Amino acid sequence: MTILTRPTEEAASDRSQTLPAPKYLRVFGVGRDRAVQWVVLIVVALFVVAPIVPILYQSIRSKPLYDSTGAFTAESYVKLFTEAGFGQVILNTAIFAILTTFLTLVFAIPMAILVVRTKLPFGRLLAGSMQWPFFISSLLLGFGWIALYGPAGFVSVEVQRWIGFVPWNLYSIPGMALTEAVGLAPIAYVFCANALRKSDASLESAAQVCGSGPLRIIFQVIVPLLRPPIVYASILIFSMSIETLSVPLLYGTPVRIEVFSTFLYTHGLQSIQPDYGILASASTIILAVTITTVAIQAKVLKNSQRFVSVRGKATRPRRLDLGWLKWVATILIVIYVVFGAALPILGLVLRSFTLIFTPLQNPLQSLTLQNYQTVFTYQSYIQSIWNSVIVAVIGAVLVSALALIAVVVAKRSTFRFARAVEYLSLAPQAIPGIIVGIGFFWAFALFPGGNLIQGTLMAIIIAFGLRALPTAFGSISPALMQIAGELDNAGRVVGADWVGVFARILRKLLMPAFAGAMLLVFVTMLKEYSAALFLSSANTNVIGTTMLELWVQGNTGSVAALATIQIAITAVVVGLANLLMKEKNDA
Amino acid sequence: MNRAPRSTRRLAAAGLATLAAVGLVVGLSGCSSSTAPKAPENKIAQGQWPSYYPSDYSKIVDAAKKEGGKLTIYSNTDQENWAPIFRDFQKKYPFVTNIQANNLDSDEVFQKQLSETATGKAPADILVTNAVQAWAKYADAPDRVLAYQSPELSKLPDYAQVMPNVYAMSMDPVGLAYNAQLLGSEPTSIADLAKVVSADPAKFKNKITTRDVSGSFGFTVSKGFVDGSQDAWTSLAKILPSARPETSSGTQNDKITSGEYLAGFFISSAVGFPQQEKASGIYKFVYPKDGTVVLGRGIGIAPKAPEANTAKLFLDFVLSEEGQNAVAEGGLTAYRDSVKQAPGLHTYQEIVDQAGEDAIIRVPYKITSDADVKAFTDKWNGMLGK
Repeated sequence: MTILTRPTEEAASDRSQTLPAPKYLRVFGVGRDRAVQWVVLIVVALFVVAPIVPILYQSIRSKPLYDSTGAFTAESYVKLFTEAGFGQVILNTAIFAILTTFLTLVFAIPMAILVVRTKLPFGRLLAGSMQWPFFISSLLLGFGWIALYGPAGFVSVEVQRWIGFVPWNLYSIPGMALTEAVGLAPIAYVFCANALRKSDASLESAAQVCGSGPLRIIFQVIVPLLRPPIVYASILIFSMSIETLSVPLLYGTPVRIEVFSTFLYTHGLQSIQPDYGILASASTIILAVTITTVAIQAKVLKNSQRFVSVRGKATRPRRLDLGWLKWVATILIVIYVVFGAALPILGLVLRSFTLIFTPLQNPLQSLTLQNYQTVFTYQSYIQSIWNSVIVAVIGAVLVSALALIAVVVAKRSTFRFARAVEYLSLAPQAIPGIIVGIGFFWAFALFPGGNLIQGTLMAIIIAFGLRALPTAFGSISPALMQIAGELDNAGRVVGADWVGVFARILRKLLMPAFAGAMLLVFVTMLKEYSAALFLSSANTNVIGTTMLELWVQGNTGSVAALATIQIAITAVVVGLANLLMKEKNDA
Repeated sequence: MNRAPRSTRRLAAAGLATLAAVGLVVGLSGCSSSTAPKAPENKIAQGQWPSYYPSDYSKIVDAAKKEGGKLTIYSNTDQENWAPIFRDFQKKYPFVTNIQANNLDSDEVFQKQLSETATGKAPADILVTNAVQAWAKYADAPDRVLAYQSPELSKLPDYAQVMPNVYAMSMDPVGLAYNAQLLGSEPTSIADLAKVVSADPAKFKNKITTRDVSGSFGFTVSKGFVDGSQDAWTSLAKILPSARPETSSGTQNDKITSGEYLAGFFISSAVGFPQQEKASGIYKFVYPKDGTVVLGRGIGIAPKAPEANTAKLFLDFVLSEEGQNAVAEGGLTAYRDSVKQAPGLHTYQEIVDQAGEDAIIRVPYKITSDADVKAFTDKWNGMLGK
């Protein structure tokens, strides 16, 4: 009797506690929620740990990893800190990174607010042009800036003629920071603009009802709401400017301003005695610095509940009217866009169509297509363009998908290691591209089956993908944080499990952020090159590595031609993406 | 109802624009004409080799045929430099259908080769770079280069073999370049330049460019000049305080042309001559009479080359008369006596003619000790202007 009745009793007590949940697949006794979460954790961990372990290992070895006679030693660290001038390197890097981050925010935040939240003449056009610099690498922006604002740049020469001297010095830390900030500002802009588009206009309406003017609304309602994207963007930009190579290399080397990345470059790849111990120990230190910044970020955003402003209720944002101020704003933005991005890019494009480019001679005198001819004559250059496109397309899909799931696991699950997923996804910011390249090179050699990947495009996709993961994570995460948890709960109430909530509710709400992330990753991977320096073989070159080759060989015209091609590809893809997304919004 | 057609139109417009852009670039690149002077045609005797080759040379050729017609080269040499060499090598041995050469940083060639050898998957057949110090250090350990005596060696000058089993593919000089519109004089030596600079230091402040000596190319040519030219430090002491270091010949050229620098030295001739043609009247390139550093571009076969026989054929080819013609056509400097200078073809003899036999400084493939490297770079950098 007892045996027969027990099951029904149990079922009855279950029902009294919760609603009967639908049956979901269980793997090894683990619900599919947990299974998905574990898989994400393992994938992200493998992804991040694979290149880091060889680096940490290298940092305490006395010889390159391939040399089996090496021994364990702390010599690299000692050398790093006793080497003359390293204190100066740290100081330079700190000033450069802080200044870059500061300038980036100064450019990006007002721009985002003005474009998204106020009635601005030509707002959409300005917003679009504001984002240009992101589509070209800062290597190219640097070339453009030097051609215009360098000691013998076109603009400098003109200014010198008018007033007798050049009132700025591009080859300085502020000069470097300014160029880098123009290049990175679009990232902060996109983060802020996305958050603003989503945020609840009812708060602004409330302020308006209480009699606040537009400026007061901006400073007391809109700006505070921007805290999560600002913190995310600052941390990302801070780390990016610590590891950025091109602008410090172009501006700093001639005047001997050394920062962390140029230190790595000159002491690593460009050195008479490449010292991988130094390279690895310096990278370990960068890693430590960035982990600290991510920790700070976590602390600042602890009460992220406060920033929830997309709730289960539809609102349509209204734009504020600034009155005459809008014209001042427009003019400032136009000056920024024209002198910061448009002219340098135009200069670069013009450079690609000329034999020589100098203020001493009208560039139109030496118009030519030879630079393009060079690029399209050699199979390996053409192949590098295809490779870049393939890498960027496949990478964009895979990395954004991984980032999307990682964000949901990190921010919206009861998973014990949710935090770990977040840290791991953001950690790659800390690893300079060259080091990612070397790290993966060894990872592929050491892990079983790795040599199937080594030397293939897949290796490049993995390395570039790792570098792009934080960007994707960072662009999806704020969007999710603005979606209230009550939507998840509503899903739960009607019986969906965690995967179900994601698949049916969050996925749709996150679609714009996901699409945005794909675009960001595509562009990031199209212009990435440093990680490929070590991983690419003769037939897996990408545009960036080919440009570097051509640059070192003195074919600057062809570098400009490749750059123009890269810009054209990006413009077409971004243009199409915008069209498609607009259609979606219209519908 | 309205939406669908509108989206189609937009898409079509975007698609058309893309097509037009691609078409424009492809079309234009096809019809433009090159301004570079054309080298005379290099005649290749297919599948034949000179009488002084060993009688059983055809055995190597037969063995090479079995290797699948593939060849992988790790180099720090540009695709454009390689193009005529590959073209003519494939004319000679048409069964070689797939040659891959990557263009790495000079030290990286060896780092990559060493790490790949350690991991057991080393695809490189041939190593080519002009990084003297890196080559010397790499080949210092046993079994780093395949032992191979080229039959061409007897027909080449004694400096053709830079180290055991490592040969010079070309002898590439570095020179002095200046902005002819702005400099106001025509220096033919580093000492000339020093005179000009010391006459008006204010005008030349930060207006001279030199190579960054922390990179291996910069170090090699700078150290080579100092070791080989008697009054080098005297001249350098006058010039370096006005100079800024750059890491590539490309940047040096661009900035001399733009007027940011008035002059620069240790610029590769492979880059200098083309720039002089492009920017005629603005940019001038010369071989300094008080010391023109010439670097042998080392070529050797990897010890476990997967296509070792094809690699041997290739090595012999680049040293042969046919090969040296192709080397010169690619913009590098051929050094075989029989290769004649022509428009677009540069030879070692030309440097001798212009700078004088005594001015030539051939950099030996020897290791410089860490202490000497540090002493030299410290002294050099100490002289550079702040």
